[in-house]
Amino acid sequence: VNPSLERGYRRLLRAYPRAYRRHRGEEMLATLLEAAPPGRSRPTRDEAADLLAGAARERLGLHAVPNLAAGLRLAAPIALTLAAATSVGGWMLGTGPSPSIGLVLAVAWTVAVAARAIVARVGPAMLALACW
Amino acid sequence: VTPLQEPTFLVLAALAGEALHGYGIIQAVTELSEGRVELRPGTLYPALDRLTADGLVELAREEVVDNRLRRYYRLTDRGATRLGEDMERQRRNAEAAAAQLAARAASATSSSRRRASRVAPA
Repeated sequence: VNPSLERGYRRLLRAYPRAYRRHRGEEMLATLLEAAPPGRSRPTRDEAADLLAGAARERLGLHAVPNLAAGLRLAAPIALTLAAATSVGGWMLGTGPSPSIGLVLAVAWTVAVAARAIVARVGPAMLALACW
Repeated sequence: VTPLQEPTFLVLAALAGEALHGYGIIQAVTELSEGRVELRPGTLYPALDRLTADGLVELAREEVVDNRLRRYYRLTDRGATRLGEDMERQRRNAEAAAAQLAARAASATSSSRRRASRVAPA
């Protein structure tokens, strides 16, 4: 096994929550190495995308989301909570709405959109498998 | 009963024959789907987590090959029942659709015959 390939996979697997890695890490690494064609020295972009999306779903609990609509329902309260927290924070600090608050609100929506994108990007079939 | 998604269906079908480890499942699913479905670890393992939690799949054994951990999974009786139910559902759908297509073909033939008789000189 190419040591730099193994290092690459290990680095990607670190994106997963520690508990999940303890349970699945060595097994997933073995599968990745076994699937890699001889001569490969680093993970491909597709492999990296698959693992990072898998890790994000694991962290966000999105692997239990069956489709886009359910993903949005899950993302909406997160975005709303972040938006509310920043508004309250602004009010308590007496700063009120300001460009920086606007920025934080934008971040809140980015989180929501990112969650949605993670759901959408892996494709309905793959996601369905993860969630069936 | 909710229909199984295709990749899930294929994972269960792959494990119906024999216990397989992660890469074995990936290969079997590619083969069963004639190359249409290529599973990756980031999607395979959450699926196995889920199927295990639902009692459709279980850990058969662990092996260490070349210092690497392999876990083999097998279909449970419950998994076999679930797979059989979904197979039956798909078979009925396919048969119903085949009957509809046959009816369409039959009506196309008769309507073209009608058209032909209309243009034919009296």
